[in-house]
Amino acid sequence: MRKNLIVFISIISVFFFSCENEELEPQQQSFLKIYDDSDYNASYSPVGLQFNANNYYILSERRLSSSNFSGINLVITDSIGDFVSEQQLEETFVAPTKSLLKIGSSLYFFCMDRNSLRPYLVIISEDGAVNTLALNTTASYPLAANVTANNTLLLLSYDPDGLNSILTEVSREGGILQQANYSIGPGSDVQDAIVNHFTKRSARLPFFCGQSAGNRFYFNGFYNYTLSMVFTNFGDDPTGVLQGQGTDAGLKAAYSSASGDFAFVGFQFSDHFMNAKTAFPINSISSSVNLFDRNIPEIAEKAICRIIPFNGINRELIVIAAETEGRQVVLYFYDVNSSQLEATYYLGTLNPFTLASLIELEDGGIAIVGTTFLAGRFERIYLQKITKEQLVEIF
Amino acid sequence: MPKTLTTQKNLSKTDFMYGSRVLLLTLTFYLFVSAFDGLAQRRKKPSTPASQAQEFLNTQWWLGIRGGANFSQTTLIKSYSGLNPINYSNENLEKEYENFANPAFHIGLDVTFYHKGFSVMSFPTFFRNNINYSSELSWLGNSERDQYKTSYNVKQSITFLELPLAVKYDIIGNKIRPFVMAGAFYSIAFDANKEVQIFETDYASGQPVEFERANIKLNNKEEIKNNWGVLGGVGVSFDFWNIRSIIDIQYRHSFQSIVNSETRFSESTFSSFGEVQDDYSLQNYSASLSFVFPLRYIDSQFKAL
Repeated sequence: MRKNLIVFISIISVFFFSCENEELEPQQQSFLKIYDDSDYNASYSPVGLQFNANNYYILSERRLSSSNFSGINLVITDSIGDFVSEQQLEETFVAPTKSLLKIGSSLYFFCMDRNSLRPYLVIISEDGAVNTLALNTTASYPLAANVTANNTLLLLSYDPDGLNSILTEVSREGGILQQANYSIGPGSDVQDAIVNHFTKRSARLPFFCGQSAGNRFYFNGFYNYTLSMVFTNFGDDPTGVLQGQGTDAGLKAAYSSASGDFAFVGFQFSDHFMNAKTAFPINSISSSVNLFDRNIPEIAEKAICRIIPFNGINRELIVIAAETEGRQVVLYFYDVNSSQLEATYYLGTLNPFTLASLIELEDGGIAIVGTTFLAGRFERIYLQKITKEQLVEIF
Repeated sequence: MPKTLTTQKNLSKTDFMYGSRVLLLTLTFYLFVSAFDGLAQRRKKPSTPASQAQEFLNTQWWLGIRGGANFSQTTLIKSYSGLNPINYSNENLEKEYENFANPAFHIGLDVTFYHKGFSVMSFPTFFRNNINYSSELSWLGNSERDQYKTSYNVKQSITFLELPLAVKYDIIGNKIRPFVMAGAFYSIAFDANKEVQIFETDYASGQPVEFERANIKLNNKEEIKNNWGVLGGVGVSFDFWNIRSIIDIQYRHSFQSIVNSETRFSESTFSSFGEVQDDYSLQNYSASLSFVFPLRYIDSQFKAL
């Protein structure tokens, strides 16, 4: 009888001692966090994201009663996305460039003085301290920024007096290293478009700039009255131009790989097209419509698009992120060598989700920042982390 | 072929665990069969009618089915929200739980080994727990009309495959036997569903106007993990014909959170509007009715104990 009892208890014990899931550390887990403000009239519009010193830094625009230009917020979270602090820059500083750049242990972006329109370089040190430096340039309206191969900064801005798009290489201390002006052509028809870019969400234009392989610089801005991608060596004239069509066609985003080829998203009125590996006319003049091969109808008409390289799962990939007609955010993963689409990932469900920026994380994951609308109407920042394990699973 | 992921997946060895559980269930079934087969072999031993009756009275296996209803309450361990407040307190986001509000059912087997007044018993059960909670958000502006409220009313149902082990003592009686019992249980998360009703209140005209914005019901098993705890209860058994009927009332108490912290903040339909689970433990009152049959010496002379 005792034997029967032992068997019986053994059966049950199997379950009591069955193994429990070993939980991952919070830093290893994916998350989706939303940062709420109880002010009915508050509105946050993130434009840049970086991970520095174990914190996420979210560069965000906010409404100002004193100006039509956007004010600047800096939201800091810890490594698991929990809110740490918010810093509002003085209302003097407006119109941040739509990216937060990281060089070494410091973060950088450009903005301008709302009265003089003079560009400023803003430096966020590792401890979160913010320092502003006025740039000694005739340019105003900082449109886009990037990091060069020499770890200096590249600024695309607009000169409303000289009617020029201006590309400037800026040192990390705010010094002007080199600068080139390119005329938008006679007249001033682009002034309204540029002002609206800063003051109306629906009128945002896809300005960007960077440096490609072969020490060639590029910017997507106004040239010859057209939103064009211009290639330059900081000479008097561009070396090549990929022309758009007014503000109705052109490129939304581009990324230069080590081979010198480009991944890009283009638009032709309401249509969008993309390719992960294309040779651009860096020494000639061409038109963006020549790159149009097929429409991707899910990308929304006014979609913000971003492209980043991603090697987190030991593969050379390009991530093309865009906003969809379904008010979600879609990530397309392309192989950088074969230019083949490898995987697709969607963010967002009930409430609309928009895209602002995304970064590759050192742990192989991806972090994405944008806005969602709580209760369908309150625009708030979201931060989402996709872990390396999740990304491995979708391939 | 490119693959698409629209929802977060639990990456923490879930498939492995599922396989382990199937293996454990198979092993358990095999052990049960082996044990009862061993008993069947013993039936062949010759014995006198008097000693047979005495042994029957003193020692017996019982097997049957049981079912009933239960009510759950939660004990909050730590509060969480998918929203991170920038300019107000986290306390504003805390949830309110309704205790013992929503009955649920359970059904399973009853296996008892009786020996001289004491019983060792297990009753593997599909045990559902229903939990209700709500939370509110509000936004205020400069005027009365700049007000807006959102409330989330959540109904969470969780089904565990519960595997208890308890000791029961029959206090007195023959045909009617009151008893007390105590033991422990291990619960395997089997299924979970969460329903969220979202109500909005708009003050656009100065007066509150409430409307239901959405009612979302989805499976969320990945948010729940296995559980364990202790149980105790009282009851009474009645013997009629060859069937023993048992009525019992039990209390279960678990000490640790049943919420999977790994998936709490994962992207999902719920987290996309800020609804995530707190850490909470479960307590539960249940009332059950069992019908059990003796497994030994079933013949034409049999009289149920």
